[in-house]
Amino acid sequence: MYGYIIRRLLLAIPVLIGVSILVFAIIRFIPGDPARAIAGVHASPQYIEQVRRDLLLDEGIHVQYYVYLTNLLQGDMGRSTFTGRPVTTELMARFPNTMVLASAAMMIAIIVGMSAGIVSATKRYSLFDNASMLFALFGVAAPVFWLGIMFQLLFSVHLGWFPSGGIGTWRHLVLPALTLGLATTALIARITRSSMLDVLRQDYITTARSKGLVERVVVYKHALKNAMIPVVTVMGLQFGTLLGGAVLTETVFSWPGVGRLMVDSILARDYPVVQGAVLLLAVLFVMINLVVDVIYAFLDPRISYGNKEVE
Amino acid sequence: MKKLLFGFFVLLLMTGLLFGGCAPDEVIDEPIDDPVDEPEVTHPFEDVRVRQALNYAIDKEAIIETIFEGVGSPSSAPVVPAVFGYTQVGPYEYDPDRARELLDEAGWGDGFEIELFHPTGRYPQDDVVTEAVQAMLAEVGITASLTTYDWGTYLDTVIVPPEDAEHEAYMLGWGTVTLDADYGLYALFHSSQWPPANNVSYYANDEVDALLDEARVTPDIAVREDLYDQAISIIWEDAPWIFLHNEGQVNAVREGVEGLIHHPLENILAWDASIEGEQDLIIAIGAEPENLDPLKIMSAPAATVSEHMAQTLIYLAEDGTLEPNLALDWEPTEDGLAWDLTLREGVTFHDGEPFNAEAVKYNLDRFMAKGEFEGETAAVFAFLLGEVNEVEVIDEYTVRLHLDQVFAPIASHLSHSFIAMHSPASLEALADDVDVDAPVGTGPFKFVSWDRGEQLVMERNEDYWGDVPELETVTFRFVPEASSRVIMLETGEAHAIMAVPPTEIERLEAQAGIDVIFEDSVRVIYIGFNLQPQ
Repeated sequence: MYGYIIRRLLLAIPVLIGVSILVFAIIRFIPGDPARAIAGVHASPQYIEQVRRDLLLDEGIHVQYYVYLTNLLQGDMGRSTFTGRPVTTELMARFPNTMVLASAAMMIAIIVGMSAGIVSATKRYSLFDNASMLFALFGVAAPVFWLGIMFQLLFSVHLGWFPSGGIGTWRHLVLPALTLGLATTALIARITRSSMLDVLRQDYITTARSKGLVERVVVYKHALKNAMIPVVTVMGLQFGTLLGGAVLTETVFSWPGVGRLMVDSILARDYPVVQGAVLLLAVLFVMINLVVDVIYAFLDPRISYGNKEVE
Repeated sequence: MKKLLFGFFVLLLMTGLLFGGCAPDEVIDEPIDDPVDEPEVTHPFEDVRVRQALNYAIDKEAIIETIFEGVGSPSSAPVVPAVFGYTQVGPYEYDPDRARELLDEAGWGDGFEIELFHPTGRYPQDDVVTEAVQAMLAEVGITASLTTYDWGTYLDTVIVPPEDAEHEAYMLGWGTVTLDADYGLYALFHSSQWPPANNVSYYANDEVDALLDEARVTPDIAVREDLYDQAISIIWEDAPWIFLHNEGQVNAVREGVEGLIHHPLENILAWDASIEGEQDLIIAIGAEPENLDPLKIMSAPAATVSEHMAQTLIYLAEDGTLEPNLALDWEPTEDGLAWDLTLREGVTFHDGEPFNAEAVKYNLDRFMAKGEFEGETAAVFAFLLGEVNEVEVIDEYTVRLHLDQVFAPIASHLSHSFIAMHSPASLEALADDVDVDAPVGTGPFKFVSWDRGEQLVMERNEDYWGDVPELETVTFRFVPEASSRVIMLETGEAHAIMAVPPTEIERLEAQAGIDVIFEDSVRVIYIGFNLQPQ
């Protein structure tokens, strides 16, 4: 078990280095003079020169990367060229907000999505099944941006139940979490349903039923655990997506999270912050995947503490 | 461009063949086409009639009506009306027939092709406007092929020496943020300002140069105004640009909110404001201040927030006049090489420190990286005081600014909101490498808190030297999404919002309890010609 975890951890390292190179390179290779863009149209040539020096833009790209990486390993991601504050400070100020939003959205998705999926599977082709699957289709298809604005119009302008944006009390959290969580809810509902249906068709379920077990025990004890494997994968990947994908939701609801910071920084061509934010989200994504892999191993021992056991 | 080069090359080749392929005696007998006698191959933009024709070809009104829902106005000069020195010389009427006539006269009646470069995502609807221009040019026989660039790349592509220029025409905008014509005209039309400065058309006219130079060194206001009038008239006739439009800005305010100042510099100012039955004003703006330190500040949202707390020496009113603020009076010395500022007495900073000549010197020296700050990093906007070489304390309430040369617009430069007075004690207390993020100024409001990505709160300064504000607090909330700002206004989560999107104007105007406010901005949008085609 530990060997498996350590192996997964080690495998994450090249992925992370790859990510850092990619993040670093993409943003530098955008045509145009970063120094000029950062300094602004009104800036004097002296100031542009100074920005160029600060960013080592006159050095080779490998020198820039080497300096970037060594600093990174010491926890120094540089300073925002826009606000002048350390990138780490900027990110840490925003990260908890994104975490709160993504967790709330995930919670909604798990509770609503799984319940709907299970009920749909056990009552296949019922009115509830059809209605919830139609709703799920809508949830997956509706653009987040549009959905957010519709929620604002309905719940803030017309009903006046929740504030339309900002952060503060739990009431500020409701609309963005719903907006962000809807697509995931829909996805989880669909996966849970099909996975449950799949498992319910298996022989061992027929055996369990023929033993005379009550349907509740068959469904929740025997079927659910096995049906969970694909659901957990989706949850893990979705949580990563939620963290990164909160960009639109955060923008619509003026939620001060990492996603919005990233958008603002891209618009301001604030290279260090964009690099930091993307790197942070990438690291989280890798970590979440790692956790998912470990949870698998608990759910289904066949998956593996080691390859030989699979074979 | 390429065609011209190709044509020239063919001509050379033919000449070479003629001379190389024939025996010299034959050449003498036969009259041949000497390339020197050929009509000089010129670029259409070298002819002023062509440039004027293009101005007549564009329907500015239609662009404003259809693309901007009526917000903005056709350019009537190279600078906007709020600017000191503005004189109305336009707009060029939409008259495609006149355009075709002029093109005919100039010998380009059959039309021609141009490369038109434009940015995307920089100015409101910049790409849509360029496409409209393209269609209107096609009506008079000019085929413009568009090349679109992201902003950063764009600047590097068009702000280049003439020999490196790939464009024949380009779209840009310019905000005269000092509301003084010097800032709007000198930078864009003086022949000393070719790239890397901002005269991207490579415009050069000796008469205009002389007028602009003289206006810079003439302290007399009426004379300066006259010089700018002349310069503007010449530039307008010369038509180095297609003069498009002055941008407009649209704010919206809930009923019951009185006294907000909607400033053409894209500021919304709350010190004279009041709300019926309430004490706490909330304003939603699109972008967050990047920084409130005079050294790093560079955007309009930052200026808006900063001005409530840290004040300038001279105040630039919304009508473009300069009013006393922390300085009561400003006068040039006899030779014009220095300016004396008389400061307001009895003013204290929010931390109780006195405001005096020493404080002014400290702030200006820090801004320019001069005096005790020699060798340190100057402010991004230090060029505003580029002519100032020394700040001298004459007495407790008088400072003298020594200039390198006579520079008349210095007072309007000093009025720029980025040159704000902060308590020297608060600046000294900053650790190395830390910027001001809780300004300590002399303004009508005091800093309370700044939650990044969310809001900045300030409270009334009970000891303010002027009229103490009625409002208890003012909160600026940062809401990047325009439709979200509109919703906040409708729900009452904000009392006022900036930058209403054009598509929402009609709907908001129809609502009871909401006032939509139209204000000119200081920015002109234009399509410049490359007057030095290579």
